[in-house]
Parts: sequence; structure tokens; C-alpha cells
Amino acid sequence: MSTPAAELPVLPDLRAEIERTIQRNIKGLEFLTSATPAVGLTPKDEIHRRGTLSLYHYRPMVDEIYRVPVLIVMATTNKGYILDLAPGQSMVEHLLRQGYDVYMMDWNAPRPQEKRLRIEDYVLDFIPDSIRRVQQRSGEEDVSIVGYCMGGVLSTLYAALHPGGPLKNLALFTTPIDFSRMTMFHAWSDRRYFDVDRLVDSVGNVPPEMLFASFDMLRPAGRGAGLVQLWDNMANDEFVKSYRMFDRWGAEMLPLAGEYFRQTVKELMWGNKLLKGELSIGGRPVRLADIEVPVLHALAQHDHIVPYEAGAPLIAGIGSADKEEVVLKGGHVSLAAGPNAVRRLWPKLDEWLGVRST
Amino acid sequence: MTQSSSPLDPMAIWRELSAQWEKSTNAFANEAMASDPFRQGMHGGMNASLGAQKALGDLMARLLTMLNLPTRADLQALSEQLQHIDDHLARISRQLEEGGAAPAPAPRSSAAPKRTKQPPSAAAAPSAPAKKAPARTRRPRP
Repeated sequence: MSTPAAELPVLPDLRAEIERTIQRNIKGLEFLTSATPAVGLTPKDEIHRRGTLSLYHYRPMVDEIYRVPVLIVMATTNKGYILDLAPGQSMVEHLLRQGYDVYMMDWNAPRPQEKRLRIEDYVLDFIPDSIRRVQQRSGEEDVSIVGYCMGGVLSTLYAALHPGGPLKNLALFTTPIDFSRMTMFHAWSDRRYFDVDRLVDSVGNVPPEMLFASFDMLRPAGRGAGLVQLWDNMANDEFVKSYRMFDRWGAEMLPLAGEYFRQTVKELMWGNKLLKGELSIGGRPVRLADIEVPVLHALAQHDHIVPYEAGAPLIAGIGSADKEEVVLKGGHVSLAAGPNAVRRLWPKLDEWLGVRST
Repeated sequence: MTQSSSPLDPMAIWRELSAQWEKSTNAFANEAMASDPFRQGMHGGMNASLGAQKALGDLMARLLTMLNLPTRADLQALSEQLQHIDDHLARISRQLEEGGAAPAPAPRSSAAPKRTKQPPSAAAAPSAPAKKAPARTRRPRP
């Protein structure tokens, strides 16, 4: 005896799946033909530009703001718009709405002649110069810094070398201190095989394609799995928009200044000198214990770039009495941007920074 | 026994397979890429590519010189000189500002927001934290 087709229990599911597939195909075509969504839309003014550095001031969104301005120091490998993806998905916008006066040190691709830039240029020139400009524009002596990844390393070095101020608070996201615990990067930069001098002497600035490939190799299946996820969610406009913004940001890496890269490999990756207390910047020893300002360090539970073990020594090593480490769910990027960050990091940052910004 | 998901959900099966594939491929690839032969091969390839790039660059430079055309290095040198001039102007500008010769750089219009905001829970503000308070460390439960 046969069952009538209308009574088959799987029929509604089958119909729904066919509809979803059609919808995916339509949206897939839209995906291929439409432009990438605009990013970094929060109104801002470029108040200073010098070579690879651009200093932005975001226009306040509320009538009353905290006394202490906030300077974000972006990672040198990527553009800062990851923290300002789109309205509602922007850490910058969130901070502005909470009443902060927000500035950002963002990076442009270093020009060929900037291949000689060293960590010293970032820590003893770009950051102090930007702070001075923030002070002038805001009329305030104190400045808080928020550093992301290598931006966090540069901010940490700055803080250690300027214990006398004017730094008021230091908030860091996924900042490595023990570079030996960045296991894959450490393995790939094995000094027995990696001739960093030959690379830098040949190319000048390290090309973004090489950096992109290195980051991609950390999770070789990530891109393919991401595409599967995209296809699965093709009918979800918000997901697709978010995917495209993240994808664009991830692919839009910046070259690294040659000497800065050479120094990072030799001093930090090979020598692990920041952890060991043997690092000198501009002839001045960098001691984490010299940092005494309030510090918040946010690490991500599933960070494949800066694992917890690489960032953990920071809080233990600094001299601040007021210090806090939080490990939040998420990865290296989703800690700071996207729906995960909206729920976890941003409120935490606001809660921590607000009471220290008056 | 209850079944929470539909028996016919190819995307759910695909999702599950894809997640497993991603995890196992990443783990396998990371192990392979951390090996000595991989590192040696990767950097051997990179050095060969750099060598070839340099040889080609030298050849092109000779050719352009013969044709009496500027090479990439010539243009970079020119650009570097312009950058020096740019930096020099920036330094002069900074010195002028620091010397007070420049107009006040923080024009605070009457519409500028007041810098008087207090945190929502001002009472929770840390009032001069104890000198050697232990680090407050919060980690998610495993």
C-alpha cells in the first residue's frame, strides 16, 4: 500500500528547503553583483597626517562628554575601520554615544621611503606626537589609550617609557607579550631558515600579500568554511553584510615598514625581549614594571593569533596597582568587532573606562 | 525519543560536516606546517623567489638606464627627497606651534560638548585604589 504524497511527513521540509535554496541563489546573484558595503562611516576629521600615520578625531555625538579623551592605537597590519564597521557595529560609535571624546591613530600603507621606520618611530615619535595633538585639540592634559594587538604592544612600550604621563589609562586588546607563545608565527620565523635580513633588504616594506598569507595559513580551512557558512546564511542580509565587511577588512592588509618588521622579528619574536625585560627602544630599557597607570587587558578565549598564554604575562609584569585582565568569548577579531563585541567587550570597556575618565 | 531537528535538513548535515572538516583540517595543517621540513621548504621557496626577483630587478634597471629612463630606484629617491622636505615642513610647523606663534590649535566653539560627564554609577568609581591591590582577573568558566 502506498502513502499519498500529501501525507509524507518530509514533504513540508522538502518544500521549505527548496524555497531556501532558491532564495540563496537569488541572494547569491545579488551578492556577486552588488558593491561591498561602505565602512568607517562615523563622522570624523583627519587632524594630522604624516606618511603612514593618520590621526582622526571623531565628532562627538552627545552634549556632555568625559573629561579625558581616548586615543585608539590601531594595529599596524590593518586599517582601523574594523572598530568602525557600520552604524550599530562600530566600537567608535558606541564610545561616542557613551560620551567619550575619541581619536584614532590609523595607518596608511607605508611608502617605499618609510621602509626605515623602526619601533622607535612609532613609540617615541608617532604616539607622543599624536598625544600632543589630542591634548591641544581637547584642551586636556590627560589622555587614555586603547591599543589593539600590535597597537597594544606599541602602546605598552610607550607607557613603559613615559611613566611620568600624560597617560591616564591604558586599555589593551589581545596584546602579545610572550612572543614564544604565538606558536605558529614563532615556528615560521625560525631563525635557522627565515632570513629576515634578506627579505627586508630585498623588498623594503614587507608586502601585504605575504602578511595576508601568513595570517591565512594559521587557519587554512577557515576561508573555505567561511564560504560554506556564507552560503548557508545567504538569505540573511545582516549576516551577508557583516561577512562582506569583515572579509574586506581581512583582505585589506597593510604592508609593514621593513625595519619595523625586522626589529619585530629579531627583538620580539626571536629574542622575546619584551617578556625578558631586555628590550631597548631608542637606547632606553623597556621595563613593564614601570607602567603604573590603570590597565585593562582584554584577551579572547579562542584567539588563534594571540593565544591567551602570549598575552597573559602583561598583567603580571606591570607595576600598576589598578589592573585587570578579562578573557572574553570570541576570537582575535570578534573580540573587538561584530555582535560578540557589542555584547561583551564594548560594555566592559565602557564600564572600566568611564569611572576613570572624569 | 524526541527528535529536535528535522530529518531532512541537508544544510544542517552540511554545516556539521563542514565544521568537522574545518577543525580537523586546521589541526592537521597546523601540525604539518610547524614541522621542520615545512619551515625549511617554505623559506627555501621564499629565498629562491627573492633571488629571482632581485635578478630580474637588476636586469630591468640596466635596461632602463640604457634607454635613458628613470628606474624605480630613481623615482623612489626622488620621492624620498620630497618626503624629507615634507618632514622638514612638519617639524617647522610643530616648532612654530610650540613657540606659540601659531593660533591656538584648540578652537573650542560654544557648541563644543561640555567635558563634565560622570559615569552612570559614580558611586562605583574607584577612589584611589589600594597601593598593591591584587590584580582582578576574571576568566570565563570552561
